[in-house]
Amino acid sequence: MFKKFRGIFSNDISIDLGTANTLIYVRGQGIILNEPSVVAIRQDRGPGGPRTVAAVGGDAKRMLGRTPGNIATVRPMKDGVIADFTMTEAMLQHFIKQVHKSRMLRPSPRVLVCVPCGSTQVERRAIKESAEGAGARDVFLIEEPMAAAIGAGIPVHEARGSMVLDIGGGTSEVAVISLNGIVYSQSVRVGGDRFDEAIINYVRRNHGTLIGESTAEKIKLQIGCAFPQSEVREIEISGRNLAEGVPRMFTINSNEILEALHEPLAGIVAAVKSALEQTPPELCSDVAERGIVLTGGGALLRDLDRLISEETGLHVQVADDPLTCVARGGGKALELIDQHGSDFFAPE
Amino acid sequence: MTSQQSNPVGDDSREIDLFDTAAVNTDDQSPQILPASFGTRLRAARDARGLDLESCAHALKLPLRILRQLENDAHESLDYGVYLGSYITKYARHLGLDEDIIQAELGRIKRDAPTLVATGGISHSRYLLERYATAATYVVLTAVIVVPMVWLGVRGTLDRDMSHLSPLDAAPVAQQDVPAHSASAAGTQVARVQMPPPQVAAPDDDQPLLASMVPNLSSDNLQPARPVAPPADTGSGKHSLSLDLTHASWVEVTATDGSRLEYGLLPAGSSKVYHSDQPLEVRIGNASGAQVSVDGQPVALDGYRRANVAHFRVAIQDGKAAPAGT
Repeated sequence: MFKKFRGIFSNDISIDLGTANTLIYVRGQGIILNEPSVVAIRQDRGPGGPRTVAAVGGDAKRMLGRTPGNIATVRPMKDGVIADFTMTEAMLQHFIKQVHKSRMLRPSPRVLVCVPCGSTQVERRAIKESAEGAGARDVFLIEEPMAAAIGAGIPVHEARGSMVLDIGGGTSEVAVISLNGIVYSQSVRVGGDRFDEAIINYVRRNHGTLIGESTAEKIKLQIGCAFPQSEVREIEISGRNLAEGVPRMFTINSNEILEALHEPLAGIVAAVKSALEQTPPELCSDVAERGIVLTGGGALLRDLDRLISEETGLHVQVADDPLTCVARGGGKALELIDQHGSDFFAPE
Repeated sequence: MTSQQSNPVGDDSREIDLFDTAAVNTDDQSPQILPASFGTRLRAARDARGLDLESCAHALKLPLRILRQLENDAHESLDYGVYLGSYITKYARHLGLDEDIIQAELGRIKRDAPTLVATGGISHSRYLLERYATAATYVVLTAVIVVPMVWLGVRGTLDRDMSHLSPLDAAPVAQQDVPAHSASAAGTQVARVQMPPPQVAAPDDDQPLLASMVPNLSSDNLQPARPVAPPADTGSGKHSLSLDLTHASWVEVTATDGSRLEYGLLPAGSSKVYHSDQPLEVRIGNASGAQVSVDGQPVALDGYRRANVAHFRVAIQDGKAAPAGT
């Protein structure tokens, strides 16, 4: 009852609870929060002492790999689902408070959370309970490919097939959508994190140097590519030399990164090909005409659309502002919350 | 618009001229020439590069029909903004058109986002009805099951007329004991004084017997106004043991030969006198609710009590009866 009262003073929000970043779209306002999904925990008075949240989001991400013994940075989401329930709840609570800054009462909004289409019932329930624990009055779920398609501007209500490939931090989801529903979907646990991991492994194997996640991400953003480039780009980085045990500077180029990313990219291409094989023929012809739309942060990898186009023989395009497609799509779907039982929302 | 546009491809100089002469208004006398459409520019650029539609469609992996519609500016039959913008951008870049021209065209075309059309939803009133109908069903089912059970449980025991039932633990035992010891114990007589009779003298054949730990409510409280039949004086003896009960109590009075003069639960208000020439052993379960006298002399039960149970003997010495401890 009290939650309903507090709900009067709260805005409906849509949360793209991603492995790498969490975006929050507030109804009537747009995307007003985009923070890394990282929580820093401080443990005072030794092991077994009280644990408190030291920082959340960007502040916590800056601490990644640079913390003293009593502070630990945690990424509570892994592969698109909750890995640490308590930390996820604390993070959501912090973010929800952040978007309701000016309110006196504790916010109790209706929340739409985007979940991977490959998540299990248990994982979805964990996400729902986590949002409820963070203060949500009602929690609705929407599958990420559907939200991404809506956010990209694809006419999902038509009786024509559209294929969307959402490459997030933890998962890549490919789906064929028609008539407001997902006809076929496949989720592979390959995403931006796997790209970083592949770069770290490549550098360790070929340069004998250990680099951190932040450095790997920096390499990916600056010179990462998915298709051979006419111009070779280079970047100078530093890491700990495994043989000497001291920091060393070295240079790595885009062709090496292309080689490093070959394996995770092959996983994504295989998922797309598998989806095309499984799609009913009528929808397949629609996809052949319309092409594939890429969304998610992974779509920003240079020439990824070209790689998929060459591999599948289809027209591939990157949506406008692919990073925020899911959050924007969730925001549009918020308008349908009052239409109870709408087919946009996923069952638990 | 000026003609000072850079073009890295030398063969495209004709293309640039073609675009710009269409856009320039030369002087007041000459007729105003309308700017060339974007489709015309696409076709001109393709011709300038010597490409045919098929090769472009193959390179872009787009259907030939779409490229033809783009060149004819027939955007109506093409898809929504997200696809149309992509088609235009890719085709124009493939033909080497200037990025500014592409962006201008993208800004010109109406890139309307599709509206969400929800299906499968229900109205708010129906949602509330379904939601609360379920809750109401649970309440009604609970009421239908629980209320009769509680009613049966309460009314079935408390309001039951027990007057026709004979308790097993009081009257029948006494009734059976009386003839037994009157026949076997020589010289021992039992007389009843002012004792309320049992509710039913003897149970009928078809009357169920009720075993219960509950005191005989029907005789204690429920029907106190029933007429009391005077007890029959059945014997005599030199010594007497009087027992007055203000509360119901279990009583056992045993003679030295083992015969029981009393054994059972006596209701509140009972008053009994036992005549005997033999010593007696007495046990009173509720000593606080009993008053005892031997040969008219009151006996203080406190000396014989243990946890409200009094146990004493009525000893006979020198022809006098007196209580004694066991």
